[in-house]
Amino acid sequence: MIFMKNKKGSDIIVGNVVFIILALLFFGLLLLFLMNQSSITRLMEERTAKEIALLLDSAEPGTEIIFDIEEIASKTDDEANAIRIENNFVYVKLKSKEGYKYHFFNSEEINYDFMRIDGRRYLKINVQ
Amino acid sequence: MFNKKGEERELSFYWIIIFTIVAVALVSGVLVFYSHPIDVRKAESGILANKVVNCVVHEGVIQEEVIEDIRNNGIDEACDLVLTDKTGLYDKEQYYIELNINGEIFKYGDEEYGPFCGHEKSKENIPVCYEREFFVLNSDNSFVKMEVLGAVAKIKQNS
Repeated sequence: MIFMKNKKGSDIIVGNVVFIILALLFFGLLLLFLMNQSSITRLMEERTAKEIALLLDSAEPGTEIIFDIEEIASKTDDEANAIRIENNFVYVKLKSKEGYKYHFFNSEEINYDFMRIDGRRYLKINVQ
Repeated sequence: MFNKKGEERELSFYWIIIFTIVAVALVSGVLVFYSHPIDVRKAESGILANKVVNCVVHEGVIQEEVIEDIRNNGIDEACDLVLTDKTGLYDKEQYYIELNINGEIFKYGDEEYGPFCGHEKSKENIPVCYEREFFVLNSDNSFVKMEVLGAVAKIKQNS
């Protein structure tokens, strides 16, 4: 009788523990999925290209833009080829095959370079 | 005993259904949200219209030589704008500018975009516009009304 009572108790505990582990696993996987979706490279390429293009569109001659690229630079080994500004296009190519390009209409001459400030990577753009 | 076990089984069955519904709703919601491109046309058309205004007006006064340049060479050349999108995604002009200075209208780009402006609710597959009205001084110090409209299509990349 005592054995039976203990078995019942342990069954309930095991059942609850398994349920909690499965629930945690389930929500953990969902959280991972959500985090992964918000930082997928395709989205980062598009967002960065459009942000830089809009900055260049609105820039007046003599403007210097310092753009934080730490987040996207961490996704590539070759940051110099990851972001390019040529022929009125901003090209951003991380790990996807094609990358992303967006047109800007500002006709001023644009020079850019990559730099580090306190270990953080930035894109420095001069609009002339 | 039998009934309790049955109830527990039924309960775990409901838990599985609830978890599945939550997972499907979250995953589909997130996928739908992230599958749409980021629409920057509102900002882009605003910047375009402001660029044109800054080109034509200096410190509140219309620049007659710029207006003459627009008459001769068009808005894009007079205001140093590169408006031909060569992404290869589009086979026609993706920008439209309409500048109305005291009744004299200057246009650039695809005129078909003009009538779509002002239809905020159905902007998904149509160009996004930015319209503003100003009063500026002309060369003889009298006020003239100026209207500017900037429209950006780029539908494949933004909607």
